[in-house]
Amino acid sequence: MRNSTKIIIILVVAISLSFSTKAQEKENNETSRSLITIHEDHDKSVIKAAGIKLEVDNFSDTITKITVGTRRFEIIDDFDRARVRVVRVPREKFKGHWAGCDIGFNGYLNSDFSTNLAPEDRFMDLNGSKSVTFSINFLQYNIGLQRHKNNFGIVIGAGWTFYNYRTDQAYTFERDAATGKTIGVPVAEEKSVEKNKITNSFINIPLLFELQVPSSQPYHRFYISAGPYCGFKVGGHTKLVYKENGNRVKDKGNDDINLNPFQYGAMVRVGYRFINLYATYNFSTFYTNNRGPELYPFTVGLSLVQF
Amino acid sequence: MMKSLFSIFILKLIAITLCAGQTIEPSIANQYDRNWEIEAGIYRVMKNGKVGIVRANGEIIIPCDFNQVWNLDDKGFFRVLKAGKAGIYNINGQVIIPPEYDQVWAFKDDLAKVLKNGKLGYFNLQGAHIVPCEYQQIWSFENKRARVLRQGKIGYIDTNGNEIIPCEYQQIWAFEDDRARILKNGKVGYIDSIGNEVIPPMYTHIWAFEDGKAKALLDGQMLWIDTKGHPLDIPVPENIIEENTSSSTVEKGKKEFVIENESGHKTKIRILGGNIVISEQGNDTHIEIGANDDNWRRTVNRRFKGHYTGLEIGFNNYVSYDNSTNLPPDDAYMELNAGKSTSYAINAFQWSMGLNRRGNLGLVTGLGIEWNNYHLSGPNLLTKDEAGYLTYNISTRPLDKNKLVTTHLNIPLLLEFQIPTHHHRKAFYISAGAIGGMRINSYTRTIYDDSEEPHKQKRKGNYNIRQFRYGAMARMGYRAINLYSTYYFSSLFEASKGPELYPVSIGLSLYFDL
Repeated sequence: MRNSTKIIIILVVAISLSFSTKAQEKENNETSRSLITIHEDHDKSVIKAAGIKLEVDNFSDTITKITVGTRRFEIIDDFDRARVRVVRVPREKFKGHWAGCDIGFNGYLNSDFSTNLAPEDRFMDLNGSKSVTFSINFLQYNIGLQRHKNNFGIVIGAGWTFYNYRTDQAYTFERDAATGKTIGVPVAEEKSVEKNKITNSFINIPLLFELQVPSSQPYHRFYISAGPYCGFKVGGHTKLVYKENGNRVKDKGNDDINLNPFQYGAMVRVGYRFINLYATYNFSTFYTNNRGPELYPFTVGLSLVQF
Repeated sequence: MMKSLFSIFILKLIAITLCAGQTIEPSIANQYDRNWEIEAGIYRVMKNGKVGIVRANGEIIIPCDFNQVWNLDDKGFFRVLKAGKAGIYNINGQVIIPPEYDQVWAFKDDLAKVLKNGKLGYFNLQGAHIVPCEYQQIWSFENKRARVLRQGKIGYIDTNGNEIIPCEYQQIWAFEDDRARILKNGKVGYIDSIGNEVIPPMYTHIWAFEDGKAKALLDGQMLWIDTKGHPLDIPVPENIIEENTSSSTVEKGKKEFVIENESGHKTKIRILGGNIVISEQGNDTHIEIGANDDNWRRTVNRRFKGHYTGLEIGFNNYVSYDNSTNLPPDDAYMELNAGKSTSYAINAFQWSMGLNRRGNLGLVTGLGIEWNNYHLSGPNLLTKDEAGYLTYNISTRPLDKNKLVTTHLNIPLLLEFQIPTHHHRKAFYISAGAIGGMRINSYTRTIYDDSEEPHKQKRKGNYNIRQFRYGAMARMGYRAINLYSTYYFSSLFEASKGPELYPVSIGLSLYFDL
């Protein structure tokens, strides 16, 4: 029931996002931007539309150039043959690195930047190698900040991130009805715990300042970006897999365990060509204020596919 | 043998260096911020925002201190721009026209027209300033002579810049049979093609010549003259025929049809408020659909438009009087499940009022409807006791959901500041201000987690929730992504009729332009 409502909300978000961008295009059409520009000289014709440029040059040979994004197809008609070549065109405008898929490890630190938890918080001790995070960064806006160069700018975007906190401890996460705090309740002896985790997902919105060097290099630039981000919780559950009398049992919990619905922190991303690394650290706590162990989540990972 | 081998080696070395000269060397490229190849072996380079031209081997054709250098034209010239002034360099890096002219036209018949301080002149291919910049207008050369206008007087120059007909005539009509009618000091006469006044300008009017004679008006007296201006002894005609000059311009305001006919050379047609522009200049045709200024800097005085409309999704909560989410023990029954306490809003209308000329500062108000869900974490069913005070009953049945829902109509008043980006209308903005709301509905919804009936219960009531609320709102965003947060200075419940709790919310707003 709850899951289905969450999914509906997510669908609504996605649909309205696409609608909103459409609505903006409509607005632009009404107020300012050229949709199609046709320019015809005695030896040249140029047709421009959003993202696409078609050029027909009759000056010496007939050369037709079709530019789509950063790719340009040049069709050269000599007097006896036709050649097609594909050329990469350097970007005129700044484009940052955010959109794509990220995969990495997540964890949490206590307030003195240590992973050593207090004895009473031992139920939160993580199996770090199995605590993985995955995100789809689906929306990116680029704002160039220079007039003559294109290697420094702001990136604003949105991404959907899933976090898996695998404790694999023999404690379940429960909310103490008396104090309202999240506590670890020992699992009965006869149950052997195989898997125990908290999963939650956030819509994250970063505001990154990105610098790309060297600026003389049009394609393969090293980039570094850093900035704040915030996130809104979309969903979350706990999952416990254990063996009892030889039977494998899965328990999925949707109870309130005081997970913080809003997070904010800092993000750093660096990369060169196909190697892209990122790290985040939250200034907000994993649990809501004073209702559980004071833990600050972090992630470290790779950015795999970039678009 | 050794000598021939050596010469072959030298030749190969030259060939290799020539081939290598086609791509820019990294050591040269690193001297500049950016480079673009514009011709084989010739690169446009940029350093500190200034543009120049170098060869692949680093030889400087045009030093790197121009605001813009255009591509090489087919005659081997670069147009350059420095501090708003244009000039021309040739492919060998020689200055043909120094960059101190407001406008430089392309070479045509080995001459280039230039404009300086509103006055026109000509340069030739060798860079000699053959016609000084002192003419208000120079018409195109025909038969190696051009009509010129200086201080409101018309004359003719040749391609060497000599004034073959001095600029002292108010009007020179078209030459016919090497003769042209002229107007000087309000009097009409005739000149020949080298400037001699064959009929001195002393007549009020001379009508067209027919059979070597023409009617003329001299000091109110009609008479016949011959082609040399000598009066003829022929009876004076009675009927005077007026001639009309034929030049028309139709203009109907800025946004409507503009038709210009200037001696038949130019035609400009604009249709639909500039959304379709067709302009024809000689052989060139220019068609634009939905055209407008590409350059956003030009549209300085744009209209301010705020960012309030949209769909809001967020989390709401409330804090005690000391701004803590940890409620006092007496009010602990109101404790919330923070992750489930969501708010939704549809901000349907907005009105914007600009406060400055640039259109990036202004006031925004609007109207929105907001639903707040306060999802209680305890099994506490809210109700009112006999004294009207808000209290609760602990549920005897297990609960799946237990929430208090309020619906408000919201009216904000925000001061918005926009930081423009390169896109017209796509500004990053920050706004803050007051928000007021009126409660239009409130109820509790309880869903039980057992098989007994009723499974769901919805109980309407005011639960002592204030009819009006007021608070502060802050927003920021770019295009579709917007963040907002609110804090209410008025407590959720009426004073002394319920716990003292101040609502807060934070969330995401998806902006669309309704």
